[in-house]
Amino acid sequence: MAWKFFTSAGAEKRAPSSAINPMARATTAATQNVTNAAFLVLAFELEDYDTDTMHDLVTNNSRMTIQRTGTYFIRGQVTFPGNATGSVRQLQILKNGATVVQESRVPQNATAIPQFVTATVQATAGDYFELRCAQDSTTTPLALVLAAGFPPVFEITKLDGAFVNYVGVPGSLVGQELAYNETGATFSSTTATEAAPLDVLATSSITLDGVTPIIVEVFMPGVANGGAASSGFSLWEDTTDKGRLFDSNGAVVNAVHVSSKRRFTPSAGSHVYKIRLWTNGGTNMQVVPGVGGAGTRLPIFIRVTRAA
Amino acid sequence: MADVLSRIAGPAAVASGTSTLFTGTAAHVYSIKQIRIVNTDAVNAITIKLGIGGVAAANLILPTVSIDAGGWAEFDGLITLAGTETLQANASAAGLTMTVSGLDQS
Repeated sequence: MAWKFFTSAGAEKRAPSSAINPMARATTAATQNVTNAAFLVLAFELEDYDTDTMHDLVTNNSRMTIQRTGTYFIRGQVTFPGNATGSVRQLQILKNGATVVQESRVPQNATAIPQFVTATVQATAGDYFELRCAQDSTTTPLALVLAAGFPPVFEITKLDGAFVNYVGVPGSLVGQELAYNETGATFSSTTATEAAPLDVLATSSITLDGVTPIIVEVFMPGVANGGAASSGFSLWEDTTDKGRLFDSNGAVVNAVHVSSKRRFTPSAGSHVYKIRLWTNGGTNMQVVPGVGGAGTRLPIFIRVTRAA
Repeated sequence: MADVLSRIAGPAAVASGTSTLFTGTAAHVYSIKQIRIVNTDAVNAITIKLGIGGVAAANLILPTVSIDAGGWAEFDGLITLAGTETLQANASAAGLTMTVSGLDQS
């Protein structure tokens, strides 16, 4: 027995087969010159496959960019030409241009021998990985071998499934928390306007499907308006003002706690939600939260959950 | 004993919130073979859960699922109702239409 679900176009909604699991394999036929004692980030202008738009042949073609949060297996291969000078040949997987995820080191060799590096990583949508290598032969440069079977290869494969489940946002359930952030920092301004407000707190980027509604929930303890002019806080989606969470046209001397929610269906794509502070009259608007604990205000938080 | 292959319930609108879609008749046994739930709302997805005798967790035959705007869900299998048992639903909004087909044995 089975339940089946269908779109308005009559297409059955189900988990894609493993053939379209997010995966990509990039290679190169271009000369890759590795300067002595300096890392070279490898560029890949060719692809064997890319099922989830993780690689671009032209723009930042050194990168495998994660589209779906999950666990990935990454593999890189290079072959340095035979050269018996120096001490090591290095091959690294780099995350977001800065963090070495995994490295392999092999000694110099008079014979060209393929070198590999692998890593299993948990990655968030938006992260990217690159392959880079280095040599200390004192010969500049050493050109990586491009012969058939030996050229640089960069592969990535998602291990924990590719499906967008029947109900919208990848891998989520109704009521599931999609993003959360909090801060105990104080924010105030006398100059930030409603059109150009001050950032208070933002979520991480969430990828949504355009049909799944969400609820954005905000809590701000210790809100006060020092003057009589229009001031407040608004909810922003990316560069769009979604509306006022709180506003006042008179002084709010004794701090108040603001709790607000908004249910809506975002457009398909990645979105960031922000609390932003503004004051239209030049008087001070502020929020003074805390870190929690006895006698201390709780932090500001912003939370996004799936509504249906 | 009579065995009648019939449309046991619907097509009928599913109300927003919790509602009873079908109440059996005493001394009957219903073998539900197929359920179809159509979302007539062209814009909004609607969620629904189904249960026998209620929609609490212990009653569910279908947990909360979302049906695409303009889409539908189908069940093909076998679920039995006995006597005056009820088939109930909880929908997040109006807009769903449900049809239940099967064998009515009396």
